[in-house]
Amino acid sequence: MTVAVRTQTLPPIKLIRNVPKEEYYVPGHRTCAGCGPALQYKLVAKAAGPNTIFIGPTGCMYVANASYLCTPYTVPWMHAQITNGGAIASGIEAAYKVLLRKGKREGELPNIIVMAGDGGTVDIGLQAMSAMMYRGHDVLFICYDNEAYANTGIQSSPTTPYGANTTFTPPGSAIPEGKTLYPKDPPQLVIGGHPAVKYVATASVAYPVDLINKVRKALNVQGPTFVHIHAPCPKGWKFDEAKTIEVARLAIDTGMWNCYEWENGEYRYQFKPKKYKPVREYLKLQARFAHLSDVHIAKLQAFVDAKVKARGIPVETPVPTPQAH
Amino acid sequence: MSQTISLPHTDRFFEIRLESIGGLGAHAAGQVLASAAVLKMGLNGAHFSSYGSEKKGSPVRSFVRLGPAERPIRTSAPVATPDAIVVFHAALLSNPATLAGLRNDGTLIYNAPRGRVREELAALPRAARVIRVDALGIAVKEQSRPNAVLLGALCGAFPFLDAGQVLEALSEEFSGRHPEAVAANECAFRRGGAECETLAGVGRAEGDLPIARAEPEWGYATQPVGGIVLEPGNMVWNDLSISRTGSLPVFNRERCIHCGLCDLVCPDYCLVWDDGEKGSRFERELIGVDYRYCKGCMRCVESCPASALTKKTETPGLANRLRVPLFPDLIE
Repeated sequence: MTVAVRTQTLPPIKLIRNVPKEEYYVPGHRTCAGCGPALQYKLVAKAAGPNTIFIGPTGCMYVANASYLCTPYTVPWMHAQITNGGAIASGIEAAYKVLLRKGKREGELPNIIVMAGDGGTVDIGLQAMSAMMYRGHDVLFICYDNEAYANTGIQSSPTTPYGANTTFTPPGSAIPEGKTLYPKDPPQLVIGGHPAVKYVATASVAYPVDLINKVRKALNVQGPTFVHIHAPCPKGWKFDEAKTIEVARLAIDTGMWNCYEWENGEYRYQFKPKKYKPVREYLKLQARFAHLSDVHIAKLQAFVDAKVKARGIPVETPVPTPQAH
Repeated sequence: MSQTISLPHTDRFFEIRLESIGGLGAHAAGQVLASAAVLKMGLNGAHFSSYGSEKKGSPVRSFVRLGPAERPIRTSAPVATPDAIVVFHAALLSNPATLAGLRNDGTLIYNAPRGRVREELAALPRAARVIRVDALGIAVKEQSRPNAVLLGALCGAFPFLDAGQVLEALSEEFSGRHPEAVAANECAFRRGGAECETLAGVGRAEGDLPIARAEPEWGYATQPVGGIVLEPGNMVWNDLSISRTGSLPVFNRERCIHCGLCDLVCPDYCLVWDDGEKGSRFERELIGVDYRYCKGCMRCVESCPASALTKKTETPGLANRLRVPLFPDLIE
């Protein structure tokens, strides 16, 4: 006898007032003061509700949150290797589907959410993430992007911006900008190559209501979904921990981060500034960019301008594209 | 260049343990001390730190071992029977493991402002020397860090350590990447040596303090197969107050408009809400902060549109007086 597998539907919210009261990510975790990823975890857990399973590949949101025998989650959680978040989630989803279909378990399919860092999504975790997207499991893959391998002391990752100072990309006389490589684009990677994926979104801790709604929407969609969340890291990016929201907002205002949704081939944009602020305004708040010269900043500005144009976001760029060399 | 420095004991190494939390500079302090001893004072020295995940606010222990030049140091075990313990954050004293193993004639140097002596220090040996210095206060005034002050205090307490050469090593450590810090560190170092107070009649125990050895109950012999944790513990039992570094947010209920912005930017769920009073405009009202979990990031203060949360310097006992418990039935 087979039973149709039922899934949950989570309603969107309009105002801060409607943000759910219940917390599924309790305090006491040992993240740094002002941690951006911890904040997004709290908001995601609120959005998902109690019928949820989190998978935690190694990273700040595993190591700083859990110590042996003890976690801050009030829903089931499983550790994954940094390499295989997607694989573990696939197995859990397949198991639940079989149990539900055979009538051995009742209720709705739980929300299965992978909470991976940028390294665990597009670098060391790329293979398992991509394979899961390709196979079409009903899982939400969240990438919390603090633009580094932060847990091990801030090493550069493929989403670290050009010109950032990390322990692997220290600026010096030979390489004055520190990081010479431009970052990968995780949502475009997912959108461009995985036919089974129907919904991809980017969000930021600067706009929590939008973040909650995007997570809920992704959970409601059947099949694999991807949400890329900008989560500033005060220790890694070297700014005062009180300013996390300001930094996140400036990222959007300068174009370094773009908030959008992609659903079945159509893009929708949120928080598009009418006029973008120059990238310099975002850089000057973070000491990880303190070593950059005007030439480097111009290169970064050119990269941002091109990225924003490529998204199809109609915009008037603030500085003319310089001759980069 | 190297003078003959005689260590206090000829039969064993001189061992120092720095007890701290991430962000106060204990690791750098141990490194500076050991470098000065080896490169400038003609001693043998070893330094390493032990910490779990590398986070600001997480416990850090830094170990320094010093010995005469003719005796190689072949051990890199943690320092279990220190001659000196330097405590960077006074809240660590509430954990007995912080003082574990201190020798009967050992020295404790700890960071605290003047005032009443904490009761936990009665557990110290009667013969131990207890030195207190307001490392955080001096560091804030001089725009330096507590480690510079405590290094100065340590050199003041042990004259065999050449203060001039330790200061030189401290300056060299930071002259490369933070030259602006060198002068501030020097002021802080000197004030640390000059402004410490030796407290009398604090310890009441006899003999060396016992060594603390962690003995976990869960292990391969007692766990369920597969490493499954059937009843996981919960982090709410953690007390994070020690990870604050001098400031905390103070709540003024009169000014609050209960908009909820503070809650949406706090990563730690420190803000305590309750249903609004009957007939009130607000369905839910903010009633206070549970400082047990607050790490002092001040994002709530930054985000509050009504200035109902303001940044204040943390004084001893303030957090406990103002605290509104998040789980009153579970944790007081």
